[in-house]
Amino acid sequence: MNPIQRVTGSTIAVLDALLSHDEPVWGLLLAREVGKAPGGIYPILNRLETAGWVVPRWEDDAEPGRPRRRLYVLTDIGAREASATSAAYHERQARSQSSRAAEVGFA
Amino acid sequence: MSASIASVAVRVAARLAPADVRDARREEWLADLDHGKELNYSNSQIALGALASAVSEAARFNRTHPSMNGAFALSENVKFSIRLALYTLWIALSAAWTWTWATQAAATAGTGSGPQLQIGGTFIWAAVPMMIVGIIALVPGAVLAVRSVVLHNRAAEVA
Repeated sequence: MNPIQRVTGSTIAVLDALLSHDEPVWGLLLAREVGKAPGGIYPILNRLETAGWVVPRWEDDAEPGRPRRRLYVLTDIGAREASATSAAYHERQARSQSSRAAEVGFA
Repeated sequence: MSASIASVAVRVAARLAPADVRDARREEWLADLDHGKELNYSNSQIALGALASAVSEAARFNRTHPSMNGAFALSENVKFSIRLALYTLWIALSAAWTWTWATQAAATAGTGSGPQLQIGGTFIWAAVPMMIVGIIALVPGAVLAVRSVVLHNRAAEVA
């Protein structure tokens, strides 16, 4: 497993959405849940897949004659890393927000 | 963007993706096109997303894959740029040809408008964003090709 190279707010939103699902979830549904366009979600999922944090699966019950949707699920290690990364990110955000609020209050 | 044009764009995007994930990406994006309406995503959003994703994935593969050094990387990057340029050219020529055909058909019929012009206009509007993405995508290809030359020369100097 590799560390992910860039941890942006969008990456965290995708990780949080993945953490909220127990079952494998369709990539485009993740995009809808985090309010991103497909162009924003595909590269993030590719990065997570390359890092070994998520594994893709094809849906089992695709309708005949229609292409199978690709579903994504966090690996065990990916889930642990995602939780830690997300928690650290949210903590950083909260800290920077409170220090900004303190600065405004001071001014 | 009509479903058939979006399907062509997705297949083009899959051709630009690294070889080992090409088939999977094609099936994934075609499925997203097929089911995207359920989530209120338009065909053009999915097609453009696939194109952007394919280019970024190909660029990342070139940056990170151990085999992408020296002369092999150079040839792969040049092939990637040529393929991208050919697709862009093909889309531009198809759009221009459709527009010319539509204009001539409208002139022959003696009308300034008609279904042919509508088809031609739709094609032009569908082709414009794809051409822009194609042209932008040439930049990473060119940068990677130059990088490969530098790495190749450096390796030759060391040898």
